[in-house]
Amino acid sequence: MPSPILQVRNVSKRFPGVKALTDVDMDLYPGEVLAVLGENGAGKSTLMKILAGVQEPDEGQLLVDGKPVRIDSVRAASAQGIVLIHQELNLSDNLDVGANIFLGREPLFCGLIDRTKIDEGSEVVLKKVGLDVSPRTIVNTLPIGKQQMIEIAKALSVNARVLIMDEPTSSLSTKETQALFRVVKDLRSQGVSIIYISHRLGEVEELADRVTVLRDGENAGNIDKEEISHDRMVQLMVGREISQIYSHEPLPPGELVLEVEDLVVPANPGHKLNFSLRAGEIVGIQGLVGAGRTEMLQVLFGVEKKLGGFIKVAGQPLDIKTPLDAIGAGIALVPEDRKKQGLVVEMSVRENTSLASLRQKQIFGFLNSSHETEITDEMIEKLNIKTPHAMQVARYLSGGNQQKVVLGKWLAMGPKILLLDEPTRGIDVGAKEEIYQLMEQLAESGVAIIFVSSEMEEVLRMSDRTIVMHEGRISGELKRNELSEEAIMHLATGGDLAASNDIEAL
Amino acid sequence: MKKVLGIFGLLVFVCLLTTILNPDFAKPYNIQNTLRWTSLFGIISIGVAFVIITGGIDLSIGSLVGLIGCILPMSLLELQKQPPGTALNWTFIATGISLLCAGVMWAVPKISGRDLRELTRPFALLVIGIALLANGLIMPVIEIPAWLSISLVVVWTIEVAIIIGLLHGFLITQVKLQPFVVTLCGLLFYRGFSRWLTDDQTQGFGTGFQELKTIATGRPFQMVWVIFAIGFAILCLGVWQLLQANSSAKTIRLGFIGAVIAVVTMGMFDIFNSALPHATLWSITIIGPLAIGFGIWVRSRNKSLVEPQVSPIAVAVVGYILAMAGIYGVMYPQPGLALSWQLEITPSLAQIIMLQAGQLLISTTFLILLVNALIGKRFVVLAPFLVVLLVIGLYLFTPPEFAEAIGFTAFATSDNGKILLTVFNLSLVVGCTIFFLRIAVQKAGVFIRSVAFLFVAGIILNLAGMIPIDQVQVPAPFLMLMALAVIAGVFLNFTIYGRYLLALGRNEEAARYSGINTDAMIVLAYVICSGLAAVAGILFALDINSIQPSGHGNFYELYAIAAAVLGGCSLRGGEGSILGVVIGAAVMRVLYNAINILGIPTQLEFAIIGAVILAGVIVDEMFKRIGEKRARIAALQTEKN
Repeated sequence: MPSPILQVRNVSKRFPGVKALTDVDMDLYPGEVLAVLGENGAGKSTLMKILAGVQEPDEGQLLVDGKPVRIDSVRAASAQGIVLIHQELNLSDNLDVGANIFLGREPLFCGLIDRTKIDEGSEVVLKKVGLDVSPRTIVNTLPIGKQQMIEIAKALSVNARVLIMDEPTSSLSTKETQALFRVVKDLRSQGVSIIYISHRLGEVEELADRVTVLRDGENAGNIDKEEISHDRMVQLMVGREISQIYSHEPLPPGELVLEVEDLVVPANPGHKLNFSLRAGEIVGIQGLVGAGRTEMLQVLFGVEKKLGGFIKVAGQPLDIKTPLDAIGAGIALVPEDRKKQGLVVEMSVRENTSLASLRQKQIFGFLNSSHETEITDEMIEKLNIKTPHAMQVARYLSGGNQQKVVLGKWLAMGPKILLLDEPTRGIDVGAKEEIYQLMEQLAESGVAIIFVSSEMEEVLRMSDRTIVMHEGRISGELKRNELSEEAIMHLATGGDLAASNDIEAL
Repeated sequence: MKKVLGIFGLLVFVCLLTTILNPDFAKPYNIQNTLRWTSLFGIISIGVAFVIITGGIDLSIGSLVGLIGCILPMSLLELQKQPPGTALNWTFIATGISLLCAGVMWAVPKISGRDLRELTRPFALLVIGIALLANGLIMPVIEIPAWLSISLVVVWTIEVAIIIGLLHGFLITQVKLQPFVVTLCGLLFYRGFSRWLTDDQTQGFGTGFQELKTIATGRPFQMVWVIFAIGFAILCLGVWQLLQANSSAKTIRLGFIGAVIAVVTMGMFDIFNSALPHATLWSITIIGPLAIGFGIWVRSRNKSLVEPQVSPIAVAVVGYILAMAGIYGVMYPQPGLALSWQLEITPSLAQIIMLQAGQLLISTTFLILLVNALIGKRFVVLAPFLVVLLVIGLYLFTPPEFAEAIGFTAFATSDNGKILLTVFNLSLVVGCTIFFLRIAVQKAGVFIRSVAFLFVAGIILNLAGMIPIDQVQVPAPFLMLMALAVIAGVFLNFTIYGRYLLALGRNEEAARYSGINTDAMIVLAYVICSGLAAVAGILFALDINSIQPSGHGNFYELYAIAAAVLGGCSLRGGEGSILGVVIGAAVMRVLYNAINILGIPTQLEFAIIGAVILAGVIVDEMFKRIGEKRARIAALQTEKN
């Protein structure tokens, strides 16, 4: 057994009012993938920040190659070969790919930036992550999935020995995730160690050599490869035996609430979309990044205007031109980017929760304060939103709780059709379960739910039917008994329904 | 709320400092002047605050004031040469053109979006516009009274501004231009246009139009009544909030309201019966605490709530007497009013009224809060009490011989000594008030906050009683400012549209996703801004009566933006308080006035104002960081539970 490349010994960190880490030990061996798991608040981010030089521990020490080191800045961490890839993208999206990869360490030629070297260096690392874009491409023209790959390429270009990846696949499609895994395995065989933080236990099962679980700021336990299992991981994370998680049972579908006929979405004008939705149904929408799922939801909600076709709600064709029209028809959208589209993060929980229903409950144009209080308290309770009080600014809530606030805002409107775009992205296990339970309850009460997700597990578990999209068109629909990862992948990559049935038959 | 307190404190501080250094500042003439100019700038600042809240900016305000300042006198003088009924025709024409422009601007996005079915309403507007225009052109001139024709001119002057506001909004929301660019071009264009229109000739109303001028220069009544009204309004707000408070405080509420009523009745009685000038004092020393104590006692009998550990009546009486002694002791270490020697007047009846009323409120609220703090064991609220008690104790209980021996008596009776003591005492009161209010407003519920309102009312009345406010006549623009500020404040904080503006200022996309018509709201903000600039422009023009087209209104937008920023509007959008903006405008004006009165070289004027604004914004930022830190910790703690 080779000696560890990185050791964490008795590390503690305290913030005013809160002890984030208590006496944590951790080992990382060369050429391994170590998954670090834990619920929100368990101390994962604090530990990673300490390793990456953003924070310093109050007690304890870090050892690299057996020697104690002091990592007091990101530069120091970099010097030790430790690089952290953030979950939230850290790119300057108005610059191009090459500029971003070499940001802060641009190669110079006679004092001027050497563009050729940048292009060359970028091409090398872009190839490593399997991303086929020119280094001159401006980053904000690329979809989020590809932007994340660039982040990873950037870290690779500094020849890190320890790569810390924080939720790297949260914005990646299945295909890109596979590409990432290849890269990770590649790096592993080259002797690079990877600390992999993820809430997607399926990925951890596939990728990790060992698992360390943090709970309440302490190391709850390490799991060696043979013992890695979903249940064991959750058990350590949550701290108790958990009984079998219920699985979703589809309800007998009610009446037709939504019919989409020959809908033409501005982003993909060449295709027509057709599907329908019944009350009490939960329909998943799968597809690769760029398949047009979000764009379709945006048209259904009126954020973008359709170019053609019909949207019928309860049999009535509607002209949905603005979100207000959609809301009037009983449609609600929980958008993909909760910080930019879902919430006004500097406003309080109360203000956010009531934002959509202000118009309904107004008193001759005046705010209805008692309604606001009522609805906020109701949603905090119903959705179990963890906030010190209703006036807490939304920015300081965790991702899961922020998402619940957005959900609360729309549930306050009593929608008949609920559109969810990546509802559990970046959310810890506990909150995810709560959201699934909520979806279940809503379906039981007759709400029709469409949810877009890139998480195979989630789709397999929660959807009654799955619509799969590919490059702007619906490539197929799978009923629950036809649902499988292979079938979805087949349709998502452009195959057609007949062929996928063949796969089933095999 | 805290930001506003901070800048209010700054205002009070600058006023007091200037008065002490040069008592001419507090002379009626100067106060009137300052109020008048504050009102004019205040109106513009309120307008620009709306735009800043949406995350935009309006640089064209100054030039718009200049334009209005040219159009109004020109039109009125032109009108004089025509039969009066012409104004009606002009109004039709102007309104017609306005509706035409509005219709076109409304129609354009529909056409470009190929929304042809939506064109009916803009089209209707166009048709009505053309109809009015035609009517105005062909209609024969009819007789109308002079006041009507003048009013019509004012009306369509404002219409011009509204169209300009619509134009700004249109360019920003439909053509997607940056507000900075659009309004910068406006700044240049309107200035140039005014100069061309007037051929650079100075404009004025001459000696005519007296009735119209009074809306700018008039001084309808004494300031006393306004201060009283403000104090009374705050009192009502406090009582209203009290009534909204949680029912668990019901009995305290009843006791308190009873006390206030008793106090005010006694006070009124006392005012009109000047044989017993301090009957008020004695009456409330008994009735007030009895009523409150009774309330507290009744509540304590209701076992479901916190048991007070101390006999409420005893606490009430003791606390009350201490508070009263405190107020008198701190305010008036010398016989007579603190500032009167400086201003060489004797306190008038009006001042006495103010002082009495103010003290009633202050004392009663001190008491309530004291009792509440003891019941709730929040002893930090007692800190200002202890400070005040300490100072009173020193004043009252230091043996005179001792004071003589250490030279305090000599100091206290010397000119400098009086000044410094007054400053010290006043700073103490103001400082305690602000500290007190911060804690009260922050930690406690509606009940305490409403009581805090009453406290502020008391302080306002008290401070006002110390200056010869009764000789100050309130300028008419000030009344307009008050009215507009109230309407704007209510709009921003209590209507759904205000909430929409605040939300879209922070995050336009999220606001859109929540079903808010962000384009319409942004256009509204620019219309409000230009509209208010026009109102102020009219007042400016009537006041100055000699308008230079090349320079009138220059830099006004910067003063307005500075006032808004001082008052708490972040240029990033989504934040703002109308009260803060008005106080900010007051600060700007007072600074300018202070610089003149204190003989500071005018070259330094901009430098000083710039420095003060910077200081204000830095302090604001620091407070914000502290608040953020607290919020973050609170969230972390909840997360862990």
